[in-house]
Amino acid sequence: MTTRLTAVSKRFGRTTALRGITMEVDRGVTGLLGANGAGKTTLLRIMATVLSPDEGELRLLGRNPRDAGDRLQIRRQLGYLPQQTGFYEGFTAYEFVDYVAILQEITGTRQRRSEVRRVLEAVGLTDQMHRHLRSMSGGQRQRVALAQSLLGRPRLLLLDEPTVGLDPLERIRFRQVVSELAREHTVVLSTHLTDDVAALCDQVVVLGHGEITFTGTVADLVTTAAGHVWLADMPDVAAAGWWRTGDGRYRHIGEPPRGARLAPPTVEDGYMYLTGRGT
Amino acid sequence: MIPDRLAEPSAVGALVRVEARRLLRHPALLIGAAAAAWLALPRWITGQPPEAQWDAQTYEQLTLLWSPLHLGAFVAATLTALRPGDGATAEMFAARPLGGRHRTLAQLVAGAIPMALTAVVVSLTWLLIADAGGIPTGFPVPVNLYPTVADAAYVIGLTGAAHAAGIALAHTTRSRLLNVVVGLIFTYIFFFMYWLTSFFPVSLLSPFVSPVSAGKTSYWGTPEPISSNGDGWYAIVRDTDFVACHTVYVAGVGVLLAAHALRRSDPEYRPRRLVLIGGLMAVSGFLLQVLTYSGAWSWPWS
Repeated sequence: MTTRLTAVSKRFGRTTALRGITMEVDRGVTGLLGANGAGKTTLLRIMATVLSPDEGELRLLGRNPRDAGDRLQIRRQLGYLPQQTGFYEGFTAYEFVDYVAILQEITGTRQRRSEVRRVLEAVGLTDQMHRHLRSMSGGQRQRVALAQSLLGRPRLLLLDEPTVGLDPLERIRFRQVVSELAREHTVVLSTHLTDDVAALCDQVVVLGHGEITFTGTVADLVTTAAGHVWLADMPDVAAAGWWRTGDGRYRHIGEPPRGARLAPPTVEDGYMYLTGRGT
Repeated sequence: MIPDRLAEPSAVGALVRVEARRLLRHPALLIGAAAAAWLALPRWITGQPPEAQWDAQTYEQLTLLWSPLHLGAFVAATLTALRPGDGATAEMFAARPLGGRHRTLAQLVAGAIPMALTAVVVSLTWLLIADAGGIPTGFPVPVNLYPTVADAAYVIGLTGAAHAAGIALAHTTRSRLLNVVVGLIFTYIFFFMYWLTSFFPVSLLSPFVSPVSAGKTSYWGTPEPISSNGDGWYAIVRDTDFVACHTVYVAGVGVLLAAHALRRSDPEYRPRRLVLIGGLMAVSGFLLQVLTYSGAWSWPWS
């Protein structure tokens, strides 16, 4: 098992961000779903060795991050894209990723140059690599941030809201990059976008109020909403979860409105049903 | 704390090269070097010594002319350590094998660049002075003096200390504007208004010391330059040992500032060895200045 968390808890003052999290992740993509404040980012920060848990045990890539030597070894095989990204504004995209490559201990000049070009090409920034970061759009900067997380083909890649700011084509490119890496390595992806989960993830973990409320495959998550998704010509305003679809009909989750027809559920339906927003 | 031996030394070396390259093209440093060269070089290019208002002025100003370069080194260093966006990168960089201490270490070591730049400009000036036959010092029969290695080491050491001070301040205030203003004020007080601190013992602790001073009452026929303050004759003492000891003191302060910057960049790091070395250098440099000083603790021409 690549990564194992056992009864991990984390508090910030009086707020409990994580409570008794026990989970295992291995090769492939694991999606973290949850509302704002559910604890996704805290969990990723702990897995990125940026934060220490208050309680519980953590094994990352078979090592204990509390040990300084182990922590260094973990960081050498870790890629991390935080939710809040920052850049040296005066650097070009190439210079910045090159700088991070040095922090990742990719020290051979030739090796580093080819690695930096590889990751910038992977995110579609080859033509823009010599532009200054201060002159780049939000989407381009997000791709630079993504590129730095891919340096050195990390065995454990942690991505917090990676597709924010990306256009549809960039998102598809991102999915290709991540799915290729996930064939041999472990990727943990925190997101609000159920499309990304449906397209990429082998396993899904749903967090609510700092606790795990669901663990399973994408198909398992979809199945939780089976028999609870309805299509109707008119909205049932009493329902907690309903919205207008592209064909002009209304999708409901929970109890069936009058005249509604049962619909096959999606990942989004499963997540909505599970978190109680669709009932 | 991650022990130093676990971090890849070649990675720190690569980081130093990146910082050095960026420092080499930093506008503040280049403007400072150009301004210092403009102040120091043209006066000697004609092959004639410049005109002086008092008997030891030219020699005294030899070490004073480089203040724009020291200021440039300080500003370049503090702005390097406070790059726009620096705070926001913390989370992204935190999960990397090389931490904040290594980045600060690389920035400190890159101080070799402004020091080398200083060495180049100083060497050029020294060559021009040699070509002009030395610095006439004393009245009415001036003695031509040549700058010493200690004078050069002192100027280069000041640049290094200014670089360390810039980075140390950046790790203390986190304000680019404030740090630049502090640099300007310090330069103005310690170099442009240097006579404000030219009394014992403050002169030994301030960045600038004069390499020449007024010695014991002298008389005609001595080999050393002499001058008159109206009441009598006195010797003009060129204190090479004193300048060398002051350089040790300045370097010690520089090491202490570097230790402070490293400590601030990694809360778990205790730079005890650096503090010990820097402290010993600063204290011994100060005490040796007292022991080696040959002047009369007064500057009658100032």
